[in-house]
Amino acid sequence: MKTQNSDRLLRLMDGTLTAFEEEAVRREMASSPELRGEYERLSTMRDILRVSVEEDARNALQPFFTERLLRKLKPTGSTMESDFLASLSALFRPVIAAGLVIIVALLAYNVMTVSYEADQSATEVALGLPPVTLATAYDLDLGTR
Amino acid sequence: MVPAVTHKKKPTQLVSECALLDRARDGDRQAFSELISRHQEGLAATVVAMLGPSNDVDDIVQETVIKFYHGLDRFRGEAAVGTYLKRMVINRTLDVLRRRKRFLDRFVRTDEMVLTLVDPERNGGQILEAEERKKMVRRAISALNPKHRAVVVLRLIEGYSTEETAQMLGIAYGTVLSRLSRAQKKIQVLLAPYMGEMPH
Repeated sequence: MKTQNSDRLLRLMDGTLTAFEEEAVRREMASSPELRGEYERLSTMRDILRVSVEEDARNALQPFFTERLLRKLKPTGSTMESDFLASLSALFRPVIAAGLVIIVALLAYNVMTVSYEADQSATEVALGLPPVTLATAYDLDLGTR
Repeated sequence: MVPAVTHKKKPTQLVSECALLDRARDGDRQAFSELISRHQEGLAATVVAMLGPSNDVDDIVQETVIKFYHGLDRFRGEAAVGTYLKRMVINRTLDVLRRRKRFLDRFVRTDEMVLTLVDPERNGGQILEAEERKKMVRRAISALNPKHRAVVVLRLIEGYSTEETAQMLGIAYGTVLSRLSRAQKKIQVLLAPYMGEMPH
């Protein structure tokens, strides 16, 4: 019942009651100090809230709001082309990421498992390349001489 | 008292909004900009009412508008643009409040607010400065849980009807009334020292 009263009083303040409803509410208020008090409290509370929020809301937005918004919405090229590039990028990003992870894992595996030769460079070790000697490079059969 | 934000539109402005909307859907950014410029202040006021004045207000309104832009094709005109945007911004602020909940619980407590209420008798019945009043209003609104706060902002501050408020929040008419009633009781207690100040 109290919530219904509040609703009627708010609608009275909004001016959205029918003429018949408004007359009925005003008649009730005339004979009920409690209802009149509730109307006053509700009206005052609403005014205080609105005035405070209105004061706080002034200059709430930074300057050039619309211009900044338009810059964020502006495309860099034609819409279709940028959409296509964005789709390609989204598709291949995980593939590239996975590839990089595999390469790093292989490098780490080679470094950890390959036995070092004194004359072997770090690059050869990392890439798992076999050590190169003169004999193997020139395919010399030095053992037979 | 003229409401801070009015959502009542003249018929000519409504027709003009439809035209702007159609042009915006065709990629006319200027039309979209014109459409948004009519509502940006109102949206900012809603965010301020829900979250208080802060640097986040601009970001939240921008995010909402950008989201609306990207979803223009999905907007069928079932509500006025202003009402639709208000609903989006209310949902956004409710998301923000849900994430801030722990922060609010830690720094804004009812018992603190009761202790900091100024006793008019002690001040010799003098009317307090506007800044102090605004601070108390902010605390009173912050003391409400997000669901009650949304109802107070839309129904009481922005002036939407109970039916409109129910539709925008996706709740029943009766739920709006009961939440409003509970919120009003809480606010009246917290703003009791100021209730005699406003002329009406």
